[in-house]
Amino acid sequence: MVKLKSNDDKEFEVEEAAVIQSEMIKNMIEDGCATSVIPLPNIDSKTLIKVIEYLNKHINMGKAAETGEEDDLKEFDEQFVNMGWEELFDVIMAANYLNIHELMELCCQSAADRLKNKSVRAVREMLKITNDLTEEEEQEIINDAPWAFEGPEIDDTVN
Amino acid sequence: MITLQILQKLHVKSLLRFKCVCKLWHSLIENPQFIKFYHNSSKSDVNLHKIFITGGECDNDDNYFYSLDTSLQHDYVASLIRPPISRVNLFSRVSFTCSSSNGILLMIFSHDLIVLWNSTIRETRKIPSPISEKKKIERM
Repeated sequence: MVKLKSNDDKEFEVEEAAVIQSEMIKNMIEDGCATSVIPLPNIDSKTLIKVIEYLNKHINMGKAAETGEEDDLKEFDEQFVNMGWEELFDVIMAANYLNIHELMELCCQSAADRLKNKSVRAVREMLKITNDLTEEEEQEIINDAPWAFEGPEIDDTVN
Repeated sequence: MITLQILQKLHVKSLLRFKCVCKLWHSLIENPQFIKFYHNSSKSDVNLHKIFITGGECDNDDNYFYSLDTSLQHDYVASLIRPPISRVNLFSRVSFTCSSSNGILLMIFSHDLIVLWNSTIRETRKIPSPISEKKKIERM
């Protein structure tokens, strides 16, 4: 078992087979740096619980194909990303930090799915981005491809 | 970089729109390396492939250009695309088209009008016709 500690000082025990899906922790274990508790200063306990839930479900990914559990995993993944926008971003940051490739792919795909039909204004608000383009620059981009700014699918709501 | 990982998963229409989000996004999306990477990864994704259909009658407005999603899913989209240049509708019909592996269509219309059309981002470049130059010389 490997012990992980969140930035709000909560400890979690995770099976080594699960936790080595994180390249970062795998390297620490291989280098013999994981003998006691591994502190994760960038991850809070709420997010870490989600990450561990994912890691535990995805142990032995390779075996899933053999035992026909692929559909089960797919359903789990769909349910897993069914979370709030802020929460999803916390998991993305954690997956990025821990270097868990599959989790990163899953969550970034979910973020892309939520953003794809959004208006420019909605994207800025959802990602807290300040517009630093001038009005002229903006108009030029619109003039280059006006069709990209039109369509019934474009959604100006923030959620 | 997390932003890049998300941008890579968006469709072209979203990317063209999101160039307007801020300067950073604009430069990320226009970066030639990003475009190359995006192109290579979408080549292997059959859901992003398109079938291009064109046809129509001479001397009227019935020229049509359709782009069809190749994915055989229930929500596939067939979209009518405006001809790449207005002159096509008014005077010409497509006499020959061929497509390159990079998704760029070479379209030769009557009146020696030759156009390269990237139907994904809907940008066109007219190229000078070598035929008309030859004709000009013959006439001289």
